Amino acid sequence: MEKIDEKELIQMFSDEDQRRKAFSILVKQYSESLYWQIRKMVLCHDDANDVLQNTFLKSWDNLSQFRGESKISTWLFRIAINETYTFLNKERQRNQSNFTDLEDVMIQNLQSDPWFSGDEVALKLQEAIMTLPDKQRLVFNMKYYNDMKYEDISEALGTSVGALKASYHYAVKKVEAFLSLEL
Amino acid sequence: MERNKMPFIEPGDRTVFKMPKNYFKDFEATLEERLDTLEKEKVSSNGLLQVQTEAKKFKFSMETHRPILYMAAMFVLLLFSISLILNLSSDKTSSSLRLSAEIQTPSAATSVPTAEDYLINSIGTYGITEYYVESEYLK
Repeated sequence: MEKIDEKELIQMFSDEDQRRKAFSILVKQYSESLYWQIRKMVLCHDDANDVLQNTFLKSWDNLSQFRGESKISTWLFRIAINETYTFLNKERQRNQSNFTDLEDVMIQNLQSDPWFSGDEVALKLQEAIMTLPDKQRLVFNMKYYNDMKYEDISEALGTSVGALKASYHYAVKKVEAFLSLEL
Repeated sequence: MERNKMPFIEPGDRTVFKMPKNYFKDFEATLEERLDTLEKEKVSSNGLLQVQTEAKKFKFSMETHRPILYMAAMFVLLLFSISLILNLSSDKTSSSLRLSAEIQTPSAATSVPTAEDYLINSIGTYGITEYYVESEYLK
């Protein structure tokens, strides 16, 4: 992959002739990490693919306005999270009209997803994580799966380290309580 | 650490989630294609937007110039009315002048009435047949 530092990439964003090239580099560099963040939230591969596409299309629309006030990764991560929340809210509304619970539907979809190979325990863990509110679930995923530092999560989400620690603590308690009942 | 209380899945374990082979490579290509389509759509919609903007500009200029246009129309109407009135009055004066001239200088035919003229004029509203019928009846 072409190695270009962040400053150079930001300069390319503002140049109309080089914007497309810069965008390709951006997609190559960040699509994988963003995919996994989104996937842990929406669970299903097809949904993650849709949200990831929307994330990059939105970032393309706003590329010329990006001035480097934050890191590119942080900026992209925020767009991805917003797109994920938008997707989840839409799905929630759609399921409300059918009198079904989105979380139940997502777990059912995960069971039939060919791109999920977890056993019963893994599925129960996902079910337990799905009982958490969206933001708490996000913090839990970032800490539990990605083992991210609280400082990095704080920068990405714009939440204080203390609040994140408390959020993760409560999330773990809830997941444990769910699993002790179910397993 | 708190995560050690959950021994089911190790932190960072993504093995339960899979994805299609070469997914990210394919994803880049799909995204490029989608971006091309969107850019083309944007260009065509920009053209349409330009036409709409021109129409809006025209509408706006019509709206701003409407009082002036109304005033101009009123002015033209006023001029037309004045010219019409002037024409009518000039026609009247010319016809009245002609009439007075006719009165002042009567023609030879009207100045010396013949006996026949006198008779016809004296019949008045009566018809010429009625005149003869009546005169015969009186006899």
